[in-house]
Amino acid sequence: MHLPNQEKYPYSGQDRKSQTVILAEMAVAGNTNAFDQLADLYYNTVYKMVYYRIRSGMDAEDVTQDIFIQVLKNIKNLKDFSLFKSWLFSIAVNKVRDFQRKKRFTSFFGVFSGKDAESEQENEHEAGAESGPLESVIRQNFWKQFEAILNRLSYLEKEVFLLRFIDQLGIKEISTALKKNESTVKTHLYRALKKIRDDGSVKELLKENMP
Amino acid sequence: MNKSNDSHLNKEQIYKAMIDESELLSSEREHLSGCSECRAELEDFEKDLKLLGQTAERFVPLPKNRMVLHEKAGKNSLFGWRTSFAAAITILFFVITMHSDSMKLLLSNKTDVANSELYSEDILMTEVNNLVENSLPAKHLFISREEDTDYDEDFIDFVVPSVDDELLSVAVKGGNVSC
Ligand SMILES: [Zn+2]
Repeated sequence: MHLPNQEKYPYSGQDRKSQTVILAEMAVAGNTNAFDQLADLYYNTVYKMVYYRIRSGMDAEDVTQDIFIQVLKNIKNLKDFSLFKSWLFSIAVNKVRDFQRKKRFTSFFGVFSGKDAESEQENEHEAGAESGPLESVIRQNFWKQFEAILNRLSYLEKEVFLLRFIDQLGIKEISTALKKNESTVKTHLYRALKKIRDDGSVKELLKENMP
Repeated sequence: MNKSNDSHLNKEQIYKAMIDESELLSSEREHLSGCSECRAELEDFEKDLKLLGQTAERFVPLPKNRMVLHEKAGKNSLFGWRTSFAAAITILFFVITMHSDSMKLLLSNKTDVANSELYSEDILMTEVNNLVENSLPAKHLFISREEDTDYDEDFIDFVVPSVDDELLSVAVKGGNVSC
């Protein structure tokens, strides 16, 4: 998929990390332009991370913006800028959970605004407009199965699995982001892998979605 | 628990290897590096998960409003303006306070003057910090879309509090039960 921001920042992991530290330092010193660049550098990563979890483009954009506002408000409190990515993900994990909680809250009390229905529709349109109707069906089917696989995991198993294998974070980064020790992360990852591998559902999903 | 070099790794050991090869016993690690069959099984699972990640990434729709941050970049004068305004107000407050207290200060000793200055500076910094904290740049207020929020965030937090570790520990408990 064509991702403009990745072209704009073709840094390797290490370059990206040092770039992050410099931009974060400048942002904390009050340079709003540096903050914008920092947000650009991580926008795609965060947006995708949110999408994997809530699977609605419009909501994912809103939540992503909320995350960066939170980052802007609190970046001055971050002691070690080399931990920026883990810290960003910890904010993201919490914001996603807040969103899911709110969604549960609103559906529990039946507070469905017209806006929600509209966004869902628009979302389907958007998926259809970007590609053909067939691609749209394939896409929807993929996310349905993806959700079904994840739904068999507990909250923490799901989160560590997504962070490790979909968001591609390292164990240490996950441990920092979730404020859990590494062995807890590994234990949950192990359980997640066991559940996922034992029933062959990932193989099934991939077979259907081979490009 | 000792595995002979000849026996293949079981599923559990393959999962461990996927997470972190150092989790394996040295004999198991040794076996893995020398056994193409076990290596292939590990690589097959790794490949599946990599493919799952790539497919998921491919199916994420492009964000529509991604350029909002860009478009508004550079229009950061309001941030500076607000900060300076906040500083000016607090300095004014500081000057007025000092002036009205000047008689008292004249009567007090030097240490008191110093303390009072420190105290006033503290107030000033707190005020400045509060104002800076609450004055998001206009563009970020804009992108936050706070004006069309349907419900009060504080109210939601009150009714459904953020329970970081509680929720996680419940999840952990759930995990234990299921195993
Ligand atoms: Zn073997």
